[in-house]
Amino acid sequence: MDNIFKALADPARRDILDALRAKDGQTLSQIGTRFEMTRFGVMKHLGVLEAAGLITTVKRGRFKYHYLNALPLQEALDRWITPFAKPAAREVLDLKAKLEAAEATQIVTMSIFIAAPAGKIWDALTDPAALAASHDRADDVRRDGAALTFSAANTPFLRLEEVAHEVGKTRHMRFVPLSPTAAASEVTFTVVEEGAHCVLSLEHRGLSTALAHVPDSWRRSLAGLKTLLETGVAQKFPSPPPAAPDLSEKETPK
Amino acid sequence: MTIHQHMEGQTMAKPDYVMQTYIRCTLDTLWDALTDPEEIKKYHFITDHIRKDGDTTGYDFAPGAPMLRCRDIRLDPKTRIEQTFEGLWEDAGPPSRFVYLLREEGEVCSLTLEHYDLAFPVIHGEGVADGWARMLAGLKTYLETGATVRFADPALDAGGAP
Repeated sequence: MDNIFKALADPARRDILDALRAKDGQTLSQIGTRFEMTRFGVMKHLGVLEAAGLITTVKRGRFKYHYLNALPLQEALDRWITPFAKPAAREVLDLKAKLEAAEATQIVTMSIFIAAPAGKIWDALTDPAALAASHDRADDVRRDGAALTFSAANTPFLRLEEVAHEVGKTRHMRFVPLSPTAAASEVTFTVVEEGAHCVLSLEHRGLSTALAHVPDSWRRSLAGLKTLLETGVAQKFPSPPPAAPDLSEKETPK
Repeated sequence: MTIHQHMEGQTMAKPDYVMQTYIRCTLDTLWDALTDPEEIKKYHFITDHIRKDGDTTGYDFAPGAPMLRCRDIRLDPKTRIEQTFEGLWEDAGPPSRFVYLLREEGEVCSLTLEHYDLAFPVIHGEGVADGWARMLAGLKTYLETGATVRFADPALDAGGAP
């Protein structure tokens, strides 16, 4: 809430919101041409607005488009204006619940550049053998229609269910943790060709913060996928077991 | 106070950008690939005009067109590299600094990049975040295959973004 009022306190940021109200979905350059400000100045303001949730962004290839997000502003109005007109305890409680729910999940975004054609990257992302060879934890991956089940030591720990698929561009999957169980979340894979190489991006939304290992697991699995595609040789990058205490580095006082 | 001294006083700060990757290589080859300009030439995403002069590594777009200057702040062999990051392209912002952390994990290595003191917000897929992703992708490809692949964005000319 503080973020919203802080974001609105700056005239340049209010101008940017006006510019987006006039025309939604502009790139940084399009917004930048309207102001006598450096590119980094505009970037900084967009960062503040995005952190406050007042704008949201969508990335398509090299371009990032900025959109107004009216919801937080409506919530701020409901919280600070409506209470003077009617009892607001209900709204406040709803808002509190919403904010608390929002805190318990995170968005994970990462990209990896791979020297392989897009078609081979998509094939690997749907091929159980390639996934089993590159995933940091799984030793077995089964495909069942449009769903993939990842297992380690005969224990299934993850299901990825295809939700939508735009051939050669994006694939939306539902991420269903089985062991430990946690709320399902959403993963989008995007592949963009850049001449001879590609960039594979992953956006994982609504990931429970309780699953703290997942971001690193993605990094390790994408590293394995790049190695497999570029060298043709499977290489897993598993998390090392917890290291034995190293007395030379840490002297624990008694 | 020099930039060097100024930055040494801030090593406890929170990084503005962190990236981590995993590479099939030894700690020795990873260290050499990150510190030897002759090695960096083989995987840098933009340029092979790279040289080291004393404690400073200079990156040029082309001879006479400087792009980036990195001065060693602290080198801990096979473990940690800390350098300044002085962008010389237009709108590069004030000098910042970065740290590479190297770690052996059995037959593979983990490499963590931390970038500190950036004067502008980091946006995924843009600016320094995009540059590091391209740089470390080339490094991994080079160490694992021996091939030079420059993961530059073909849509940008050499004089553009970092």
